[in-house]
Amino acid sequence: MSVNGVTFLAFLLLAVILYYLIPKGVRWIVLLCASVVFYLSYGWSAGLYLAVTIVLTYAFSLWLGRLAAIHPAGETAQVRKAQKKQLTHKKRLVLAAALVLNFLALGVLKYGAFFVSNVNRVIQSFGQEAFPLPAFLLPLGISFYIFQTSGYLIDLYRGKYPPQRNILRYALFVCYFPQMVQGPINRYDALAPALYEGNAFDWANLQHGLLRMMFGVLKKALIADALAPTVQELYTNFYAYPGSMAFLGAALYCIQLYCDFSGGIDLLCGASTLFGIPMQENFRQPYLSTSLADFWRRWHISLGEWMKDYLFYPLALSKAFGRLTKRARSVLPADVAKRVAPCLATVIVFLCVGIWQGPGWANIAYGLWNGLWMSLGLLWAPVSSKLFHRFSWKREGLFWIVWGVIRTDLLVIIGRYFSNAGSLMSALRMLKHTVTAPGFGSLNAQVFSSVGLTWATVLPICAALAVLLCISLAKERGVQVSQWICQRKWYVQFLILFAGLLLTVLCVYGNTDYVPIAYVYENV
Amino acid sequence: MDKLYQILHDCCPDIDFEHETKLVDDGILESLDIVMIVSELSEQYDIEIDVDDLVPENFNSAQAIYALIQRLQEEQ
Repeated sequence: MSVNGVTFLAFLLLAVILYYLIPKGVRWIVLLCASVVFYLSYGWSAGLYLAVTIVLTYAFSLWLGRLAAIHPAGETAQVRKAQKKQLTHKKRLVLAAALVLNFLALGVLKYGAFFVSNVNRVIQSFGQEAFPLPAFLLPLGISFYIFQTSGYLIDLYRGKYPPQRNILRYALFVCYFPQMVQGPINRYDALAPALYEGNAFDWANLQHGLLRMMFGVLKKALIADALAPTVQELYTNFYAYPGSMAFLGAALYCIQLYCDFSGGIDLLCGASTLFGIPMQENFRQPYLSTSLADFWRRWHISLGEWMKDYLFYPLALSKAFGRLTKRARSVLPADVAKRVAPCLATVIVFLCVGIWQGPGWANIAYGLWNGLWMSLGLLWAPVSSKLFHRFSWKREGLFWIVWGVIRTDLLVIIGRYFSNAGSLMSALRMLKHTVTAPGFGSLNAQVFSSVGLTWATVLPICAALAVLLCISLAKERGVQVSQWICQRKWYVQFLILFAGLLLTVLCVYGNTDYVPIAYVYENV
Repeated sequence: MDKLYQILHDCCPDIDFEHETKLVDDGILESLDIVMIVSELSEQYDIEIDVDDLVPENFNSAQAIYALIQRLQEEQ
């Protein structure tokens, strides 16, 4: 059931009606049933993988909960300390086993073929016969629900909250349908209360939800899907065009990816709002970031937060990294030495972010590109600070903000050479072509039209982008557009809602020429 | 407290630790800065700051960081 099709809308409408018709106490059961139906519409085998994950992580969560409930009761403080240490060790083992099993499933299904193909490359160079490549089914949303359940287990280990004892309620937390296609990676303590409570019908939720859904659908159809053929052509046949067109392709891909991913998130977060259930926000005007670190706080926020809380902090504060800092202090200047551990942890985290994107060396390079630049930024920070102080420059000045945005977007665009080129070699060739043969002189209307950029196609995209930019700038200034609309007079609200609906029907659901393209992050 | 201010300024010279009270909530203090500060505090005060202590309440202001140091010194 594609979420940008009419069937999904009908399914959603039915689920919303049923949700508000039945008593509050059992409303979560409607969500669970809807989630099961939604997930099984993608196939029974995918459902089986999900069910195994739910049962397995549920069992481990109870085990961790039981261990967390034990309080050392020795007679002396020394005995209690020893008991506590033993208990922590046991909890750590249980958590490690759960995480290994969880990530093993993800690793085998998602990266099995990549691993075998690399092993084959090595053994073939020694004249050995290659292994057949495994072709596993990749269940919908596996990268998201594995991360979500792992986060839940780590929180239990840290004693953040008690485990959910009702397996059906827990299953709903894992498979709540608006989060299954492309996240966000929700946190249990943030999602669970609204998920289980049985929310009362609220007209404002309906308005906000519908507006956000329309916004997401239009963003995807009018910008992302309209740009997709041009981007595809520029990435696959970049040699046929001047090198500057390859750069344009990467820049357009940045826009396409943002409108695709955030459009999908808007649609699904909007759908969730109809039930009165807020999900974690995943984007905050990422292309207005003034540094790469800032970009990663605004782009795919739920993944960034996950990486920060469950990987970056434990890694950077580990004993091994502590020893590394101590060693660095003995050989490096103090200002550099204290930055070594965070820099290394950043590179490792972004390596994982790259791997998370999907199998392939190009994704690993994408992760390293981001991690290394962020580390360099951290090392450069004291010098930059001195320069700003010396020349009395103001970081909040317009020049530095614009410079920061341009510089960051440039780094993001170059990074996207890697994440969409298909292979590392292809990305490097494309980059080389951009630098060595930009061919600015040969750019003309014919070149643009041959990649599908004519006035007829570009003008509607530019109009949609202009609206998107205005909304983004308003959000940046703290104005919530949907809230602003809902505060207008009733007839203004009606007019905006009607115009939005009309546009959505004309451009998307009622437009037979428009064939929605699958979401980029669907099924990663 | 002066020693703490010195450490904080050495780590993040551009941040006004004397007056800011929402360092984490307002995104002034980033995770990279926090790790750097934690590493320095562990070294200078001989304390062990756990991942569980890395919550906004403990890092929103210099006073909150100082309170965290005192608590950990008492506990450890």
